[in-house]
Amino acid sequence: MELQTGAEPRDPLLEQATRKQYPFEFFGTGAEYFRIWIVNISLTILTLGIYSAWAKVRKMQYFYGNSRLAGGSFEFTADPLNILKGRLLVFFLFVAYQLASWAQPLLAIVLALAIVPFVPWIVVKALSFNLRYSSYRGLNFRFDGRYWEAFRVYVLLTIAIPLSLGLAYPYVIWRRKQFFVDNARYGTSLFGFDGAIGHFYTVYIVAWLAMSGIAVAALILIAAATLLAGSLGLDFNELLDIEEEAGKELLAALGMSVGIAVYALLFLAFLVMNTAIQAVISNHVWQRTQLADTVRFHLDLSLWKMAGLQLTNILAIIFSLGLLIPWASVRMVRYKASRFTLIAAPAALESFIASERDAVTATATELGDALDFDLGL
Amino acid sequence: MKRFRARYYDGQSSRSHEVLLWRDGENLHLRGESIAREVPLSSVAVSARLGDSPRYLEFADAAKCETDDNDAVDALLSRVAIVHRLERRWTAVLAATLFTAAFVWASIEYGLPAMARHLAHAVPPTMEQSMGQQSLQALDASVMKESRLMEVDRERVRAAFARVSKTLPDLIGPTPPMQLLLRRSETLGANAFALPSGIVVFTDELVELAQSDEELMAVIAHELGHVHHRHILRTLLQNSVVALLIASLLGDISSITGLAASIPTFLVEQRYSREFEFEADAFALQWMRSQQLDKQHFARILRRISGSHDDAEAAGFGRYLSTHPSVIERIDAIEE
Repeated sequence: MELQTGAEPRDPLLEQATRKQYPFEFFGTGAEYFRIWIVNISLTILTLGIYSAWAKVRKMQYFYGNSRLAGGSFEFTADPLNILKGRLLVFFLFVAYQLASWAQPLLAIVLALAIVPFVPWIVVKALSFNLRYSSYRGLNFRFDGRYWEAFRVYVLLTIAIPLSLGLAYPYVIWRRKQFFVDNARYGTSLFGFDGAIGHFYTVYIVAWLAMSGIAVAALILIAAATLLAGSLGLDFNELLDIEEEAGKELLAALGMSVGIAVYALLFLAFLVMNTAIQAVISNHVWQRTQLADTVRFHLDLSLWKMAGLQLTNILAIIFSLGLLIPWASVRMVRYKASRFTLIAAPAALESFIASERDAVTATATELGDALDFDLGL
Repeated sequence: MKRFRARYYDGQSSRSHEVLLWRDGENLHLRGESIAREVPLSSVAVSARLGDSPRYLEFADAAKCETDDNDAVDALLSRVAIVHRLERRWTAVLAATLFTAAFVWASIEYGLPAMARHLAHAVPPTMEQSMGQQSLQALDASVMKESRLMEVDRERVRAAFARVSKTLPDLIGPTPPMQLLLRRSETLGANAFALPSGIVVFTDELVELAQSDEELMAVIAHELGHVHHRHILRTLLQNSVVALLIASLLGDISSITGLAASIPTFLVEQRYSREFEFEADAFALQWMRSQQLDKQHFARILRRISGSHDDAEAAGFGRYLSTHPSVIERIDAIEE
């Protein structure tokens, strides 16, 4: 099948001149989503989990529908029954795996290895599912990735990471982004990715240096705290006139608290660093992505703002015992949308066409649906 | 009938058409600059309402209308979907919140432990034996070496074990098979633990630490308490279900909530573990009372074991992170 980039032939120069910026907007609110979220959870409990498939569709649609671009919103069109089938399958596999690993830990290892050939298949199907059931302006997205390319990207390259002592890691991430973007389609139009491998290496090297610095600082902090606590511990006995045993216990409690505090800080530092890496990589990927030569994107996430959002979200979720999860999710999506722009000529946005396969939805999708179940990835 | 605005897409291209829609009897009318359609309302698939997000009306030929006028779309339908009615009422939302909180609390407090207790008794003995053997092999291959105890000491432990296991049936009726193994381990230090299928492992370090047979018997009784209550199996069952429960409640875990989910899972698991320690302590005390042994023996060996480990004693906030209750708490419980 011949893939075309647009409808009518256009004058490229004219099109360049008429290019406009279309900001993404997100209109969801934490309060509104909370209602949907808590009703979803309650109904899921009441139906012993069966409703979770419908809950997923409602959740996805809430986020899709509230995302606006150039006057249109996004639609999540998956059938909850297919999601339910996928979830039941995953549930039974999980239970079977657990039983097997208790009865025979060796069998569990064999099973885990047996899954490897299925990984590329699962990746391709999951990406296909997400894109196929995403729609904008009445056209669906698609994913055309093939098994063997996924096998190279997700199995062979994954093995290469430890073999190269981690040096291949930035390349592998770059290759995965390329695999994802290059195989994505909107109607008949292809997405294209020309990200720079060098940029990925720069990001990971800087991150690695920063993490090493933090780890060394944490070690020094622990050592200092131990020494400090050691000298304090002696004082406790004299100061408080308590027995040696009690002084030891006090010291141990103090050491434990310092230890926990340092680990918590270290944990948060890794988390913030991870968020920052994701933000920088996402910015680069979207800036180097285009759709059919006519549409470009611009994402400008601030590294610090993202890290701050992530941190405050986690604290809010922990201290609200989970009740602020909807607020946290909405807040993150709203920020990301606010930094995301699409650049295209108005005519270009109007001229994408449905692929032939899209046009025969009635029969073809039913057939494909049976295989394209969502594996909850 | 009121007309409302929508954007129309024909399903063939991404061109957006501004149109007006209205209902006329059983038909839906659509008018735009160069489009006019009239279709039976029954052939139109209307998307579910979600807050104030846009709605989609899909025609039989995959053409679609997208509108922000939720009330007009609801007016086309004979009734509002029940789920949206729940989401709209604050009383229903409050009830859902309380119900969810109560469910989570009751599952963790009663539901999961009760379920694990029943399931643990349903696990076939062959499976339990295989689990016990596998764990033992794994430990032998990694952190445990053969015991270097002198024959005298071995006899001492064996005699203590025999005394506890022989007198247990008087207390609790028929007991499952129980087996004592001696190992040396620098990593584990002074330690004793029970594995599935009634295997109880004592380290040389612990035997050397014990100053009397009564102290040994107290620890043996504690471990046999784990065996009697099937704590190992129950821990495995509870932990896998807790992870599943929390993950499924929080829904499709995104990166934020995924991390937030691992923390409560961990805390709940540690809590179950501490409960089992108290339960095994109570069992040991019950046995000691039946044998007219002084419970101080148990308190003394506990204190000495904790002194022999370098790791800091959990206190304050650290208590929630620990698998074992603090020795102070345990001894307090023993002396009560």
